[in-house]
Amino acid sequence: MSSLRPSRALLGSTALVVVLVLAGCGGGSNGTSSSPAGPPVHGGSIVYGADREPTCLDPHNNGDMPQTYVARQFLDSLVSERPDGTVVPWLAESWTTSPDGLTYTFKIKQGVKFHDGTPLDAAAVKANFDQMLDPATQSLTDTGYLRPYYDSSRAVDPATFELKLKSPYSALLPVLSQAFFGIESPKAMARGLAGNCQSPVGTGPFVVKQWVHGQSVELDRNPDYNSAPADAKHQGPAYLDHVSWKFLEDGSVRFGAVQGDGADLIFNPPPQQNAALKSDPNLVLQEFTHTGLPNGIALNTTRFPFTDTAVRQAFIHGSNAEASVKSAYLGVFNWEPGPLTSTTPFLDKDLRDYYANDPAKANQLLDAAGWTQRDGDGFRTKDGRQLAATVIYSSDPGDSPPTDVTLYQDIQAAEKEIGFNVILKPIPQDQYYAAFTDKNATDGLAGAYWNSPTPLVLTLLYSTDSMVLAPGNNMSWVSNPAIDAPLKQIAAASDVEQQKHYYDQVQQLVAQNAYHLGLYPQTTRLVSKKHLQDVWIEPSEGEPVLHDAWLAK
Amino acid sequence: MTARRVVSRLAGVVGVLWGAATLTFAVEQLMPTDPAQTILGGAGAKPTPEQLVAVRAQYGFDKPVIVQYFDYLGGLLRGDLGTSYVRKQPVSDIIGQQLGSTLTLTIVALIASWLIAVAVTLLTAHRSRGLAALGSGLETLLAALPQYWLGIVLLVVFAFTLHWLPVVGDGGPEGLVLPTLTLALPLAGFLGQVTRDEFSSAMEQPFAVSARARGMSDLGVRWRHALRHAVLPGLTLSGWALGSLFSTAVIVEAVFVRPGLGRVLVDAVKSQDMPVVVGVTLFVAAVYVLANLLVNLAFGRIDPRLRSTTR
Amino acid sequence: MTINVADGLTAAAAPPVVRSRSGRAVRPAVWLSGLFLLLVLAWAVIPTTFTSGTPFDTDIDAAVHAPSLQHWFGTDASGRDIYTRVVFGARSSLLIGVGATALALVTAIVFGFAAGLGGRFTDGLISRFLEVLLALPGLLLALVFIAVLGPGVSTDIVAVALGSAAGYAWMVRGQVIAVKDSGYVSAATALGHKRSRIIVRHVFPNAMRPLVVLATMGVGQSIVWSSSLSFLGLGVAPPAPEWGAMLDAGRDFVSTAWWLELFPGLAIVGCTLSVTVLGRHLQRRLEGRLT
Repeated sequence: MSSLRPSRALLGSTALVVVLVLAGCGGGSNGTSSSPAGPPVHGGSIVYGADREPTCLDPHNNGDMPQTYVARQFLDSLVSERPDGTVVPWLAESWTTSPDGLTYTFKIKQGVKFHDGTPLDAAAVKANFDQMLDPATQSLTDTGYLRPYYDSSRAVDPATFELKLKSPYSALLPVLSQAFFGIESPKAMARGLAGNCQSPVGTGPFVVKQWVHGQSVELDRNPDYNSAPADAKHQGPAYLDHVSWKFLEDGSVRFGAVQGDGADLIFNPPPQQNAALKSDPNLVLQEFTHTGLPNGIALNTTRFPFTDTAVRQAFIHGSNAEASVKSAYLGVFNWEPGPLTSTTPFLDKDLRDYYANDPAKANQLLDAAGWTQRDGDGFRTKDGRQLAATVIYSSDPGDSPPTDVTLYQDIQAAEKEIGFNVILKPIPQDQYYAAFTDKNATDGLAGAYWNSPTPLVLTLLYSTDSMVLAPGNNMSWVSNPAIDAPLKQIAAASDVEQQKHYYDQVQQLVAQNAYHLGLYPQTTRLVSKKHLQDVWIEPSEGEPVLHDAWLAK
Repeated sequence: MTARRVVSRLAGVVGVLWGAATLTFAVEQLMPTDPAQTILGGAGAKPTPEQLVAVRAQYGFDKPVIVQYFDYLGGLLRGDLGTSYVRKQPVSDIIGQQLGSTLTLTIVALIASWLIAVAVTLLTAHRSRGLAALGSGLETLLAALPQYWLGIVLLVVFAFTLHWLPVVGDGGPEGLVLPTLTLALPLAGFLGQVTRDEFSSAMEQPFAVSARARGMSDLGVRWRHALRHAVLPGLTLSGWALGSLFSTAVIVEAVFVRPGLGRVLVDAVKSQDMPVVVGVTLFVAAVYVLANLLVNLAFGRIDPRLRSTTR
Repeated sequence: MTINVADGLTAAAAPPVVRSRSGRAVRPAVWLSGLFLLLVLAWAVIPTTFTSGTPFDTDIDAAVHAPSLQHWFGTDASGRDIYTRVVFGARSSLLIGVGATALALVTAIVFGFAAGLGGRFTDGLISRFLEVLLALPGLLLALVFIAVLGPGVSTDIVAVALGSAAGYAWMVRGQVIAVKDSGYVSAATALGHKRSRIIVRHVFPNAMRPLVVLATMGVGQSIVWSSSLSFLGLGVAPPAPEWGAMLDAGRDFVSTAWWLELFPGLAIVGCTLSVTVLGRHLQRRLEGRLT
């Protein structure tokens, strides 16, 4: 999970939101707590064990998972997404779309105040969009979604906000439902990035009281909260008085905390603890498989040796990905080749052959490409040059948990069998993030995933527009007109059959061209103590929602 | 102690601190990467040349080295340790936030190690060969244990298996036990060795012999006479011990996921956030030097070995 | 990290003397330590004699298997034999440990002798410089160095060396001064021996003797420090077998697969212990010779 991959909510079916069974790890106490523990109890304070500390609390800046998870607690968005992909009112009470699909008019809820007293109105919403697109905000996710489509916006009157697009964007509303597009106070944003990173101000059920770097974000209940989304379990202020959002990077420690007294709710226990988790009657597991691009290795098509499609294909066929994922993740995750996860709508399920483990085919491809000589270490050479690729990953254990490092080493060993030298290079976190926007940084980028509410994330991942307008999202640096055309069609299409046709086209091309070695789907797995009720996972980004949570006695 | 002595000692301390500050400034200048890049780097940002120039001006990187040096010294005198490249906070603020946790851990560990060392010495030194060998062997073993391994073993045994102690401390005393033990035990091993020597030789001194001749019990002699002498080297080493503990707290904080200066330092090293690296190091150096000074002033008279080797 | 022996000795300004009650007999602990160190040295130099595989033999179907006849120390998360990796890991651990100590000693000798034999000015300058370095705890100094140059094997060696060099240098300086003013040197000078000859034949050997002890124990400490750096994620990159890195990788398995943490840890502890026992034994022998 790196900072640049915002998760996209899914448009899929209800069953996907609360995944009850993920082949082999289901059963037991999964699912939302359904025990009738009586009416919600007001009061109480909980500790949430997060796996990573955000770099900035303002999710408009940058745009990574730790940011969106915590921002959901203190920011509201314009709309909220439902598991089936439709959206319901939130800060926008209603909206209309112009017939050409280029103008969206939102009615903004009145009587809502930001935590600093500023009233919520259309002007405030416009200020948010301006700030997102302002280079000083250094946004990656928000600009990635908006730049190809956004034209302008304005406040028609205090209750009416109008947004104009350059070209139709069928995924706009689900995109806006993410906490990445949470609405912040203009007065607070005016302080500048440094101030706003430290203590952003929203309208949400919790208020950022303090960010203790390296330790936690302290959140207090907002007693005046009156802007819950239409799909919340209740309206009105949160039940909990206080949430201590602690950063517990070490997976074993995090799990130990929720087993003991250290935490009430934690994010992603390590796979090693699965057995202990299942057998503990005091713990409840909720899982959500993100939609979007599965976590894997993005192959840089602009650098040797991955400029050659045959080499990329050989890399994928020789990676032994399926067995490696199963071994390293101890069966908790299944291998998913991509380019979309199993829970993403419009996934083309017939592409597995392009990604299957086939060393014979890999060898064949490399031989045909001229890599017939071998050097002393057994690696292939051609014209004196070794078949080698450097794969970088973040040395921060929050970004690259030990299990991922094991997985990379397993793949490295498999590639050695076909004569491919994969050099693993851990680099410091900030250098790793910087590598996303640098075409020459690396041959292969590990930890490449993209959580998104919409399969139209393929535009961010593989379109020329994305590479040019918001570099850093197109991680394989792909510019392929054959892909650009159908992607534009999907954005403009409203007929599901038509969309499916183009989605299939795009995915087929991505698979054929072997841009990405998919490994496993990004998953949010929340482990809570039994006494903490009504925590749920929202479907746009898998954000845990604490507004409805309460502590049973 | 004469005033002149005190003043000259103080001057020495100031000199050492100034030297440390200069050394760390030199190290900062030697950085091969561009600090402006680190400052603007953040996550995924690609700074434009104009932004880089602006940051350089803001932080004073474009001034001549000598000017930067004096700015730096001046800042130190004011207590300004610079601003973190990554967090954009003043380093002194960061240290202030995290100091309490590390200081608590270090001081409790120091006291605990004294107690353990003295207890083991009292019980096992200058006794039958078996017992003495046991005590001595235990101390050697403890002193040789790498902190992080000891920490992991303690975690596994007491937290994960026996569930006697919490895995993650919540700020309360329970969460302090394992990290403290991890720090204290190896130090206790070393201090114990030193104390043991003094203790043994003290027990053979005339005053101890005559006390025993007068009918005092062995325990009485140990406690009332020999101990006083034996404890001295432990106390005089406490300045050095504090410095050593501070630096090994880095490891312990990583193992037990405790907030503190150690975590701050390691993160800063990984992201090449030089003001934090330098600030924390200088701070620890200052603590170490001052602690040593206090110890020397207090005990120097009593223990001549503390006076530094001069020509 | 074990206690920095050099720092401690410097602080006390006199080595802690362990009076053994057992006279001059060599205790079994010393034999065991010597044998263990020889074993580790053999692991480092001729690892293939002790194991048939390579440390990179991945076998993902055999991941995280408990110790068995096939895998004496069990397997790690990639199915690699831990015994093999411990054996091959001796090389990098010893390399850094011995390399760092050697580098520290060389630096210490240069500075210590320059200070001890040089004029008042040189001594003053170097002494002040050493005092400053001594004020910075060793591990922190190493971290500062790594911050500047980035992690890696060679950086680690230099960083660890830097952290302990000052303490050794101080020791050397003290020894050189003590020997310089000693009786037999004055006699030799009075007899008209050349200064260089005196240095080579008298000062150097006598000044170095206690350093042998320190160096022996210093190797153990260097090994621990360098593995600590690996543990913090600042050491060698995977899949290199290095004891500290193996400990770091096994942390998530600490409650489910104890063998991942135990055996590399035992290797490190074993080395440190052996080296300490040997060092103290040497100390006792040398003191016997000097008195």
